[in-house]
Amino acid sequence: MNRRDLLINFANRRAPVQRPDTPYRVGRFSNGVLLTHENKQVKFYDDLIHGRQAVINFMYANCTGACPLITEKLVQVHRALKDRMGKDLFMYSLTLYPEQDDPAALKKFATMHGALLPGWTFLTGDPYDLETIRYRLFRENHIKFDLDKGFHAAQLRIINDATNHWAHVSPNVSLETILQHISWLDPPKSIEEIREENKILQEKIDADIKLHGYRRTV
Amino acid sequence: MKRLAIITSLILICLTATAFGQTVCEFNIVGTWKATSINGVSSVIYRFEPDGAVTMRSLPDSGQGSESKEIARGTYKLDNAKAPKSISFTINSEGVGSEDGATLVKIIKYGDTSFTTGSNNYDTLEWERMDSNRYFLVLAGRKGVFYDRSGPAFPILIKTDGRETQIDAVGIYSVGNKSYFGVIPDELRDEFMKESRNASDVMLRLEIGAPQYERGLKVLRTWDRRAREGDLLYPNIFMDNVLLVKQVTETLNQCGTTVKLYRMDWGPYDYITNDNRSSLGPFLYFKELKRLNESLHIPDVRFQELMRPAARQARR
Repeated sequence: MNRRDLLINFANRRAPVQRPDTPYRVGRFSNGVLLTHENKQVKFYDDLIHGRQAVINFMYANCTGACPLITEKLVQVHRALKDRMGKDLFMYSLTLYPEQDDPAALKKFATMHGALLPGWTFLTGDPYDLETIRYRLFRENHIKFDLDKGFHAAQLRIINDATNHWAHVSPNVSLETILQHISWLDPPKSIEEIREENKILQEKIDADIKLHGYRRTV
Repeated sequence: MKRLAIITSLILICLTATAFGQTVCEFNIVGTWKATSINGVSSVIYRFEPDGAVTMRSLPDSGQGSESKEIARGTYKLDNAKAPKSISFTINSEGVGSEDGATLVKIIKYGDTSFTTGSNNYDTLEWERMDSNRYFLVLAGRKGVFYDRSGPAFPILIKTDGRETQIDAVGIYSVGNKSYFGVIPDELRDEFMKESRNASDVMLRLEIGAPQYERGLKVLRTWDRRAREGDLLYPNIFMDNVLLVKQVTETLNQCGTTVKLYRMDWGPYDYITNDNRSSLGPFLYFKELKRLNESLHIPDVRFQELMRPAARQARR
């Protein structure tokens, strides 16, 4: 990219140009080979994360404590964003106990909780790769917390790899808060889209002033 | 409404905290075991293979030149490989059990080196693991090498049959004044295999069992792979090393307490992690373990004796 392109892109506030894959970038995630609940092999970074916006959590199939409640919350998130799911937004649930959870067990869990939905993938694989991913995505840089798999399970990681933005939210908060966190990582809008949104907003404000004499729309 | 949300969140947090269990003792039957009836009248040697085959041999007589003889051959099956409650034997040639069907034996309790079985038709049997190898764990460290006054610290696992010795060591080591994480170079490792009188050095040498060795080796191999493939868990290699030594030492007591462990849990009573840098953690941890397990420490002279095949033969 030359200087002129850079300035034009900046002025238009378009999504940044895709960065090339560097070992550093892949190294932030791990590219371990995982198995989906459909028993399909995928590379974690190349196939699931690269250039995408994703919501990621850890769970395990035999969990009777927090996981079903967290999954239920994620079903609500999916319902709220169903138009985007599988297109520009994805959900990944990785098992904490890959020794126990094969693809069939994950599929059973997903079916049981109504989570067999488009754009939502349950993943298992080599314990080595899943441990690496758990630390890469949820590491607190404190061994006590990092050793506690339950601590990591009660978190959601939101990533937009195209813009290289990360966010974190607890699944215990309200649905609105989770949706708000996801929206913070949405791809940047073009100047035309922003102008259009502003135009619609201005029309509402003008209508308010005409009708009530003051602005009611916030 | 707000109160309800807070209560729901608290319930979720509590459920999360209790939902994830600790590492449990995993039984490993593969290997050679001596089964003795509880009254001590008879003993038989069983060899369990990973493919489900089992061989029974008589115990050699105490007289010189006597050899153990094969009594029977068959297959075995555990109801749950990692946490079994029973073993079923199917005997193919003459021996205990019926030829036409499986004999079910209940496992009353199990550990790393022994287990107890019983059934309605047979005596209670005490099973003791037999192994021609000896296993050692050495925890070695030194301070005052790196810029922050810390230094190399690593666990060493040794397996020997008196003739051949396998040594594995992974952790923090130094080249010049620089610190590295990975497989310890042989020269440095050998330097730490002997006791030192320097206050800046610490060394605890323990004799361990085969399952303890296997569990420890699995941890070392995983960290070796992480170092080679650039998959270390922390950006700071000293934190990786704290985790490594914690994992290796905690596998020792996975199937019963054999070593007194210092509780490195980052809690209010954990002075090592609360009052010190992570780079000094393994050194201080080894020092604390040495203090707690002084009676189990094997000094150099004793270690040399144990490593000699002649001494081992005499012991048998």
